[in-house]
Amino acid sequence: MMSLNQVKKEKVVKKVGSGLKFTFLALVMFLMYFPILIIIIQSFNANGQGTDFGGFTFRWYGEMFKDTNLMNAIVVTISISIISTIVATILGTLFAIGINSLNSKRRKRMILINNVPVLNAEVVTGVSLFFVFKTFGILIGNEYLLGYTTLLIAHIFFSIPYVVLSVLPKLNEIDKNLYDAALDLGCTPASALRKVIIPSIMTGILTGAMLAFTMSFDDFVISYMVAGEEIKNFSMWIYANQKLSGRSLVWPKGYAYNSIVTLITLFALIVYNIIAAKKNKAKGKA
Amino acid sequence: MKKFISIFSFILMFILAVGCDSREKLYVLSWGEYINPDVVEAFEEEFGVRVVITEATSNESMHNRIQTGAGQYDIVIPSDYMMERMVEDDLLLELDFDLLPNYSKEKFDPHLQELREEYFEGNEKYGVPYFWGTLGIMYNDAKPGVKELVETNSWAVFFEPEIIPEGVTVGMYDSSRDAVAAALLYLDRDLNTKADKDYEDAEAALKKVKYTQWGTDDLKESVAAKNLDIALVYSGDFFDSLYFAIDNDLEVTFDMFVDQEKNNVWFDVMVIPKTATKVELAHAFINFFLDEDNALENASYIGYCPPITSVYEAMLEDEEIAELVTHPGYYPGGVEGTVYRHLGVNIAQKMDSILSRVKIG
Amino acid sequence: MNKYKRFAFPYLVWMIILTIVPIILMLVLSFIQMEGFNLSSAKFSLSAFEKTFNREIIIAFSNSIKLATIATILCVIIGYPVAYIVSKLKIQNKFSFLLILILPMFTNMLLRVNTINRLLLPEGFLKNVFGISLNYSGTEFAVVLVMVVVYLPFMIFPIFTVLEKIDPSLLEASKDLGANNWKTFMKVTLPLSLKGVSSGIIMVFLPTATSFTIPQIVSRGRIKLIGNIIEEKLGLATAAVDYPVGSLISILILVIVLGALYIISRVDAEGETLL
Repeated sequence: MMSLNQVKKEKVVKKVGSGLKFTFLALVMFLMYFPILIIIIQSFNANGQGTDFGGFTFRWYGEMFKDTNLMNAIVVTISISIISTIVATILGTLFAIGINSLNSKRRKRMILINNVPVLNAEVVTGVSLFFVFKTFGILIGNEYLLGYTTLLIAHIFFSIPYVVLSVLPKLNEIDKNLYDAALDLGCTPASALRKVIIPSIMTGILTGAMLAFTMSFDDFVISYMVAGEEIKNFSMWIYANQKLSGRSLVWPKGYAYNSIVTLITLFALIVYNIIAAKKNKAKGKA
Repeated sequence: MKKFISIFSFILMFILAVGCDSREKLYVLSWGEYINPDVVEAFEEEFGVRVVITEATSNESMHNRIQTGAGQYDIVIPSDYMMERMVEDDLLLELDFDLLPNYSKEKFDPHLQELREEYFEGNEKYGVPYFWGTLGIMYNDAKPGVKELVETNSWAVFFEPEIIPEGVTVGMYDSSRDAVAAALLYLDRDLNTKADKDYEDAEAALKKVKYTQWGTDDLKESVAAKNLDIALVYSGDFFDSLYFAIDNDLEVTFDMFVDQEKNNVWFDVMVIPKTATKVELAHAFINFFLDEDNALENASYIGYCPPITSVYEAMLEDEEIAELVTHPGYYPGGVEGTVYRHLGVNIAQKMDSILSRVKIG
Repeated sequence: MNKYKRFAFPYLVWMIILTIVPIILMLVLSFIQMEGFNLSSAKFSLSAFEKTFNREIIIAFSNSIKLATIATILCVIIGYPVAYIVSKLKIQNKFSFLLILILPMFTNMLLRVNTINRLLLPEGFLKNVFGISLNYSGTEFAVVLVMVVVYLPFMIFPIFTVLEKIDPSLLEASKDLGANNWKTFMKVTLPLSLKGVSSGIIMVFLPTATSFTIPQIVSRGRIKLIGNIIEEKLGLATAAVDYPVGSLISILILVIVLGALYIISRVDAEGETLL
């Protein structure tokens, strides 16, 4: 039995402890969020150069849509992210299942190869892809291949490993006998795949898809090297314009777009949480 | 599943609508903000084509892009010495002057024409001057005494830490050719020297001052924003910033000093690489910019000095513009300067090594 | 599941074309000397090795390692507690909470880096609105700071994932056997979470060591890391191009990465480490 003092002491320690924890989290959040807050503030700043606060305005949000270069870059970013994520997720899942079925030695080798794009310096990956596309172009007689297609292929290329890395652990977790059970119950390997395996690794697939999308949405270095002359994604647009800060007021438009993206992401997260909470409540009641 | 397909096809259509363009395309490799978009649009309308402009940040990367075929260009706008290197490397087409009715040697500023004639043999067959200028020292007079400092010492502000007062920050151009040139100018050496000793001394000079910023066209922004007090720039950088400040009603406390006695004079040229696919259209583009009205519109937007005499004179006649272009740093014709020559790949790499070593300290 | 083995083969082919072939190309280039990209002037030479192992590149390399190490250590010091605290929260969906904490990660990196850089310059928004004038842009401190802010989430996620997987009954057992919180942490939680920490270290160290945008933007052009050097030598920046040297450095980095991968594969057989 603890004395009253000891109980009080423990309570104080706990309170101080949670106070510290809270402060710590708050500090980290501040560190991460401060640049974002500045971005959002600047997107409403009438002073286009951002050197001072010149008043509140929605001007940049409007002008953003009128800037063809920016809009094209945004369309490229979004479309490439969506398409490459879908393709990479499907292929990555299948590849992961394939790798999972290999014997230990081959498995290790494939995983090693799989991890190379993830860990390799982006500059090196970008240049490698550039070389491959260039060489391929020369071989088929059309040297100047770089464009939307090469950008898409590049994004699929670096996204697949992330999907594989998300799905493989899940494949390990599921019961090895599940597959055999499915076959015993009359499934063909194809339908076993569809009806049994995939649903049980779904969380891994979704995580992989999310990861692939994030990597693709924000990509700069690799895109820069393989996108060619005409198209840019949003990061390339920023890079091109960060040096030209002289004449055109492009920054606030970039901030406006980014603020919209941040808000959509936050909104999506909150909505997801509400739905998940509701589901849990329903589960609890049932 | 159905929903998915319809969203997907919608996105696909959107992309195709935005991205597709059936017009013929002309690919231009140029510098950042170096062509007036309105003039480009006028060209696009007149010829029913689309002009795709790629921006490079250095002559070396332009050369590299053409040689490796990183991009397919119909027109490139390199500087004098890079044109020399491209000709040596057999990368350029000889211009067909039948397709350039607007071209005539007499149009160009006599000083510039003299430089062209003294330049490497045959250069006039490959490149048509686009803009010309010098190196300059841009500074912000917000801190007291900076103006006198720069005007009295010229190139020495980059190489003599003793004369720089406490708190005054200096920036250097991140291009090995130009940084080394500034050092050579300070040391009174030939800008086209091949002597090892000259480069050793240049390296020693560059190591003296610890530069606050190494940049390219971001230097002018830093000086204008007071994040840098002094920087090495190209002459037009200053006017770019000036025009921007005027357009946006900003306070102007910055200025530029151009050493009239020892400097680098350069001229950029429009050239056509051998890998160009739209040679006739490329000539039409060059011709378009040789037209005085177009050239005037272009020059009024870009901060650099136009090579065509009548265009420059027209600018002097316009009151508003004249106020700006009578600045001593605008017109390169009166400057005692040397034009860069291509010194070979070895020296180019040597200059890069110098810069790398200088940055490490 | 042997029927599914066939899915692995196309992947192998795909990776060979897109990963192995360029490696071979770069290996070949490392042993060549040529002018620019003039293939006709190419000849066998070891000059690339000479040029690579000289002072400025070695210093750039060691600077990269230095800054990346500091950034990584900071990420562990800050990231581990964050992951731990969140994993101990008694709320419904901890993962979502974590995501909200890390939401800024989903902002475009270049935009964030540029914004932070502007905040670290003496003149600008901070000065005119808040009267605060920071002059850290251009310093190693700024580079490390930005690296941490950008890559911290990559440390938090793997640690969090691993912490969540720890069987709570293990912790209960430890308490039952008389260990206090601290001892439980040291003897049970920490060792079990090490896999996540090593994942995090790799996910932070490698990108920061080879980064070129962060040093370029935040150091005002003063600090050159190995990523910048590669960028230059391979023709993407202002310097004169040197494909052999660029290729050689890329190969060396690749060798180091493969080395790291090999070490991981020894330590963890199932390939789970990275996530």
